[in-house]
Amino acid sequence: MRWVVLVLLVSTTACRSTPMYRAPVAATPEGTFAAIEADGRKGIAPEDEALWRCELGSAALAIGDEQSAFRALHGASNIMGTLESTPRENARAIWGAESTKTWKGDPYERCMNALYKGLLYWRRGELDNASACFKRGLLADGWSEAGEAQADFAALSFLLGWVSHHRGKAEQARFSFKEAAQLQPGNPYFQDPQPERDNVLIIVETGSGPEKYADGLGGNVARFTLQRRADAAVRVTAGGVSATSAKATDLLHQATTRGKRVLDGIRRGKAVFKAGSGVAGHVLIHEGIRRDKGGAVALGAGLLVLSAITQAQADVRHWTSLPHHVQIITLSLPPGRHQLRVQALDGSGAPLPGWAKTFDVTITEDPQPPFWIRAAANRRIYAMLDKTE
Amino acid sequence: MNRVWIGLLTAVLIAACGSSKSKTRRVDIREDDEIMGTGLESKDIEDIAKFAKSMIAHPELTGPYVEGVPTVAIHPIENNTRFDFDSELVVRRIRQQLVENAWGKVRFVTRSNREEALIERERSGKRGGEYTSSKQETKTGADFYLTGTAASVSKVGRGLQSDAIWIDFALIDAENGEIIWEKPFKTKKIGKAGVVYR
Repeated sequence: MRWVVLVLLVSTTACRSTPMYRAPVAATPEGTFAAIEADGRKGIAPEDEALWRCELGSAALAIGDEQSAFRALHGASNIMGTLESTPRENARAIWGAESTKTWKGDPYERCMNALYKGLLYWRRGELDNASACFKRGLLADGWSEAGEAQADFAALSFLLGWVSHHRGKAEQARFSFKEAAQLQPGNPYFQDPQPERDNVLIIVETGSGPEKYADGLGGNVARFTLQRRADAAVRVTAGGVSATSAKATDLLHQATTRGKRVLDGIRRGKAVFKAGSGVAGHVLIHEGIRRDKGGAVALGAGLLVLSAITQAQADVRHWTSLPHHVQIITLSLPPGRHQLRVQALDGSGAPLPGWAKTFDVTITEDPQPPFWIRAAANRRIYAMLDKTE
Repeated sequence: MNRVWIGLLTAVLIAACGSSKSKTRRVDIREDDEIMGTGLESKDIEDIAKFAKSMIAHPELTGPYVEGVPTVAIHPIENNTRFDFDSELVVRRIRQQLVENAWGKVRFVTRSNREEALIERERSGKRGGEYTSSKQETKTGADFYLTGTAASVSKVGRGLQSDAIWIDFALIDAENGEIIWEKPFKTKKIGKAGVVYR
């Protein structure tokens, strides 16, 4: 009778549909944005809504639509902001497929949501909310359980330092700059931050971010690989000044230092159970038929059903449009109109042919909100620069 | 016997595959809900608005010796927490409560972020005698400033998340910078990450 109860329990949870949203990619960023937006109109499963919003936010950033990006990322952060779950949601994800739970992202994805929101708040002139977002991102990274890998998202520390300087919070700025310098000792901008001198701060993104896939017995292990390694850097030239970006945060490193999770063990157990009950079911049916034992056949069939409906596969939903590296440039430009040339560089620092773009920017007397540049996988360069574009 | 099992299993599977209906319901704005986080919730914003009205009773605003109708400029709340929030919404709720309870004895104006830059100039002007208090016309028109500063102590660990938030309100005399009224709003919440997110 006990196994009947088990069948009832598992089947009530396991048979739910398993939403697995994956954002479409079109030939142009405008096409990608339109396709993701169209997905939303068709209807997104509530479990995937935050993921869809994050993808929409990234697509909006690529086309420079700051309002849409903010709306999408803000909506996502409302869902990702609380990690509480209902008993029903727990039961579904434990007994059934993990992907039935509401997607709230891994810590590195919550960090990137916070970084983008902070950037957009900053560009709207809301420096205190920008600062709040960077703090939230740093705390989201604190959910990582891999010991020293906690709260090591240097890009957020540096941005918090920079915005704190502009808010007149000297102590917070000093603390955050020191933290960024310790976390990323190879970054020259972090070693000697000059927010008084440098009026231009550029957040640069290169490469394509971590891709999550299922591995191991029954796909119970979630692993990360890179879609495309980061191109070494980006060089910007304007007003006779040239500066090369330096790595602030490696998202693959962030993704793979997440630490162990409760569900990892559960999935492993389910994978073993799934394999074992499948074999046992086959043996029992075979033996039951051979010896004409109806009970054994029924038990074997029950085990086969249990094996079939047990879903051990790891939830591999992830934010596909993130970069591999977040990099930083700071530089000082005189006020006025400039041509800003952005050139992608390879590992040796040599320019990658055909991968450059020139933008017109206006530098004002006041401190600039940060610029954002993405050297995208399709050898294009996307940017959000001054508001007069 | 086998038919009974098969029938039972089929029924259970059909039931499991059916969609569950969610029902939207109306709740009080001050009510906590199932998806509440550890930041500022609607109940907190309502509480902030209500408690700020205690400022009205201050003798320098509505006391018997006040000449004319003083004007209070409500500033945006400076956010030093880890939560981004709509400062204008909070200010609007405070202003509505104040206006409702002041009965015309005090005037209120709100200051946007951009206008904040004017404040220091106005304060210097008042100190230098360029502008005066409520008895005379002033360019930027405030006798007092109501300011709010939000700060938090936030922690995560062992699957828990804790946030203590303080919003300190102060009513400041525009002429001499003296704080004539001060009151903190305090809230602390602890959230637990669900087992599927830990």
